[in-house]
Amino acid sequence: MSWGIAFLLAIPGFAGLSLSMFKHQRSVFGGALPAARSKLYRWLGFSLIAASVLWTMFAYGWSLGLVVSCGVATLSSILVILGLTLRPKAVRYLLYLPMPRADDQSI
Amino acid sequence: METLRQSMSWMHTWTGLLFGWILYFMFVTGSAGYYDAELDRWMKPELAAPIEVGENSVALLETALARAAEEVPEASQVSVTLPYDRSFSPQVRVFATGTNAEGDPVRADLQLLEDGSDALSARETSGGQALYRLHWTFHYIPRALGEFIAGFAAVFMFAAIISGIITHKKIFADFFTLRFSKGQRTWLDSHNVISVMTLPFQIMITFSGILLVVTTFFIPIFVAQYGWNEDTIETISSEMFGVKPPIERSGDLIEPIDLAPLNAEFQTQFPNERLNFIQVSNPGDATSTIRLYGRISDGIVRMSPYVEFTSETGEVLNVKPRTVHDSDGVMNVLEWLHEGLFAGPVLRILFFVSGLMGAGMIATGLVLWTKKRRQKLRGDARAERNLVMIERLNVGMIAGLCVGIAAYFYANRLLPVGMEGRADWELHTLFLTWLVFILHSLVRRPEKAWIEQLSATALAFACLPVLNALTTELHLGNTLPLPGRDGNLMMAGVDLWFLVIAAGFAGAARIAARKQADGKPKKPNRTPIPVAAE
Repeated sequence: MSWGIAFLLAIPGFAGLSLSMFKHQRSVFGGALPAARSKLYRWLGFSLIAASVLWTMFAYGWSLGLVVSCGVATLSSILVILGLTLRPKAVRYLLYLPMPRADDQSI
Repeated sequence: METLRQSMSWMHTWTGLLFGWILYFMFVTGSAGYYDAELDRWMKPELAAPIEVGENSVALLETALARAAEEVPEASQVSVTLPYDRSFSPQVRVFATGTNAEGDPVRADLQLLEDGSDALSARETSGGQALYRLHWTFHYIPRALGEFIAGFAAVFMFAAIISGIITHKKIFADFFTLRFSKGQRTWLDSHNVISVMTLPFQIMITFSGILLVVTTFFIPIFVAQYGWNEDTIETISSEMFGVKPPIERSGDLIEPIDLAPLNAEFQTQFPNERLNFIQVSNPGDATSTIRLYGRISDGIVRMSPYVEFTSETGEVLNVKPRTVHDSDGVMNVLEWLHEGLFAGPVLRILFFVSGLMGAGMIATGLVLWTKKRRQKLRGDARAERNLVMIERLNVGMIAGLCVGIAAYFYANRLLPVGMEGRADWELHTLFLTWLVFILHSLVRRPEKAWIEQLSATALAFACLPVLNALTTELHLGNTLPLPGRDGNLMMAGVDLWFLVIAAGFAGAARIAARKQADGKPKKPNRTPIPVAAE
């Protein structure tokens, strides 16, 4: 359970960080996002990763928590990278974003 | 003038290559070591079921002590451990040492059931322990030499990690970048991604690895000080770590003490601890002392608190809580992190995966080295011959080792149970199989050899659960925990990992095969793409 929460925070965290970068926005959304949106994703990414670390430290104590969060970060970021490489369009789900409708021109 | 980055790049390339194969071997066998207890269990399918410990712990300890007194009368040291977590025996484990009437040393190592009878004897096997020990002993060479090689390789690994970080130009810009089907670029991306993602683990494992064998670098100093003979190591450890000489037996016999009041005292001293392990010196003698230990803690700190009593009156001699001190503590924490004994099931998966990714980091680095050299050849025939040799050996060294490890498990199930030197032959099988695959890689074209050896690894691991089902009752059909039954997660877990590993290698074999199949025709239209994109 504690593990699940750590991953559910870290995965969107790394997805958010990656989606704040132009080259990944291109492969996931097909173009650049507005600067404000990029900033939001970056801010969201860092906060979620920090939340994941704090959560593991809360759940396991600080020493074991730090070890656990290293492992969680490793596996989460690998998931995001494999997503960006193999199924870029699906990476938005990792940040809990819905797939846009076909007529949606906003992104 | 060379820039720092250029000189670091040079250092990264050569330190990595020089020890690449040894480090790869260390990472693969060391990662398997995170499942040493599980593999041990898998390799001893006849072992009786684990026994339950609860209110009966004092009774279990007393039964075991009585049994130890029968096996080794007038022992100098007896220890009894109750089953607890994965790193201990699933039965009551007894070690007793002493000397007989002629003054020769006597030893007993027992695994007991609740009533003090022997747990069913398992086949002779090297087990998961031997596989795990390979990563610093290398099996065929003297122990001190093995430690020296491992330590030396670890120092080079550390140098390669640091120079690698400096060489990596865009560590943050390329953090999430992995581009497939781009030839050498793909290899570089994979190498970077694997290394950066697991960096905390790689730094920890390498640095703590160096510290674990650090005394090996002081051997010349020891030899200069103590000379070089049989008991040099023993003298050093007694002087350095203050190991006290044992107290002689007095010859005045006493009745064995009732453990229940001692346990009550232990519980008063440490209300939150559970008695798990006892150690008795000179049992049955007036000089005897007895230590009651609690369980090893669940956190990173692997220590048990203890209370020491005299065996005659039960008077408390010593109370030691679980504490770690300063520099000793730093060393201990690094050692515990390296071994990961504290890890629960999920964290253990992460340790194992991180270890395998370390092996992947080295493997991709080795392949990348040959790819870069091939670009720079420009028709130098001698350089090309050497390069082809390394390209070929890479296949046998990287994929062949994995087939060898699978063969180790085959040997465990297929060698006759009563065979002479059976445990040794399991290890010989590993190395002989590996040798065969190295020879195979020398006579095949590397592209073909990769496909064949990766497929062979996948097939070998995929068939292991089948072999297990054919030779034992503890197969996935019986061991998977399903609704309505407990199963045996330890055995099932090993079989499941074999299948996951098989799937991984099958995927790698497929990628290699596809690359070879469409490598040539795709080249002409591949070049324009990056130009258009960048």
